[in-house]
Amino acid sequence: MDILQIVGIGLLTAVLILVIREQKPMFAFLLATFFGIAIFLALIGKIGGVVTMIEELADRSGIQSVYLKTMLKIIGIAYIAEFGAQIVRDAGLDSIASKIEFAGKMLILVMAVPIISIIIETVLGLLPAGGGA
Amino acid sequence: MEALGGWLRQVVAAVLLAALIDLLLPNRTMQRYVRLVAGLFILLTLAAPLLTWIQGDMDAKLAAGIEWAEREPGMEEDEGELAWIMAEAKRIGDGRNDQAAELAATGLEAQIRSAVEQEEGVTVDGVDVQAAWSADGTLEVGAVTVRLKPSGRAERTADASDAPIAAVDPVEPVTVDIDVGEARGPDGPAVRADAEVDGEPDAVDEAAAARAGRIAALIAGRFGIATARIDVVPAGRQGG
Repeated sequence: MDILQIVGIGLLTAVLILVIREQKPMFAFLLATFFGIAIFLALIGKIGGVVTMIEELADRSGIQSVYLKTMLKIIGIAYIAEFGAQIVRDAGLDSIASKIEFAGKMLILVMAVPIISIIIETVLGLLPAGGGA
Repeated sequence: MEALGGWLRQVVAAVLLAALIDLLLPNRTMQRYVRLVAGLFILLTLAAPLLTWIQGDMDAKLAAGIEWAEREPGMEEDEGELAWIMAEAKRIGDGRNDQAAELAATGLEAQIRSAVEQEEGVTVDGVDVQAAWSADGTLEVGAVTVRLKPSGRAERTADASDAPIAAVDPVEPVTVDIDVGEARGPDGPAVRADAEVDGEPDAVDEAAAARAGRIAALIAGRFGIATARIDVVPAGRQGG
């Protein structure tokens, strides 16, 4: 039912955008942005359900909460960066969109820095004459 | 064996989590990066026993590292730092204000004590001044409590202070004979005793109240403190 509604609203928005774009490209862009935000807000409850399920899984298995938090943050960064990049790309500014994507990638990689540093420290510590760690 | 089971469970959960996150990703541009991080997490989970053995408290280190990684890109650190500095400044300022209030209260206590002792000739047991900072930043005296020493009347104390201190005789042994038979008797003696006691405290109370009023007026006049805030505790009420 939900998906039917969403597809219906999406088709309607697409037709509207096609009609408006000829006259007022600015409003077409705003309409697309609004549609994206509306879909996102409508699905927040479902996303919350998935996140709760994942948290429960992590709790039961005794996995550290740091892992889960980081993973969820990575997903959030990926989604937000992708969303922003697509909106900007729709407006015809590919270069800005690629910058947004680049920022998202960098932020995801920054999350990996502590893990990499711990692994490297361990490996250096394992080596007999390694680095004095 | 239990530790092995727990470790295995963690590994399975980490792999499941990574698969789920891979599934949740919006498109392929981010996929490589997210896979790298997820793979590192799985590696960390696999090597967790080894890492704990070598590094000690790995979890705390990892949590600190991730916190650092999150704070680095944005302005959060600056805001956190600023909030910390503001909180610290408020704490230090409050401490200084408290110290100033305490100092002022101590000075006022000493002045009130000397003024009351000079003017009224009574011995003051203690003066409590409660000073607090008002909302507009001025120091206000909340309540003044003057406790008088149970050394008797003013005149006697004044005389005693002039006379040289006489040598004190050692305390004689006191023998108290209690006749149980009389105490058990009718109400007569007890009533008489009450009547004797009743007469004197009234006079004492009146004198004490008058003296308390004088002391309160003196403090109010000299230090500008409202009389309602001054409480003079006479010698009789010390214990209670």
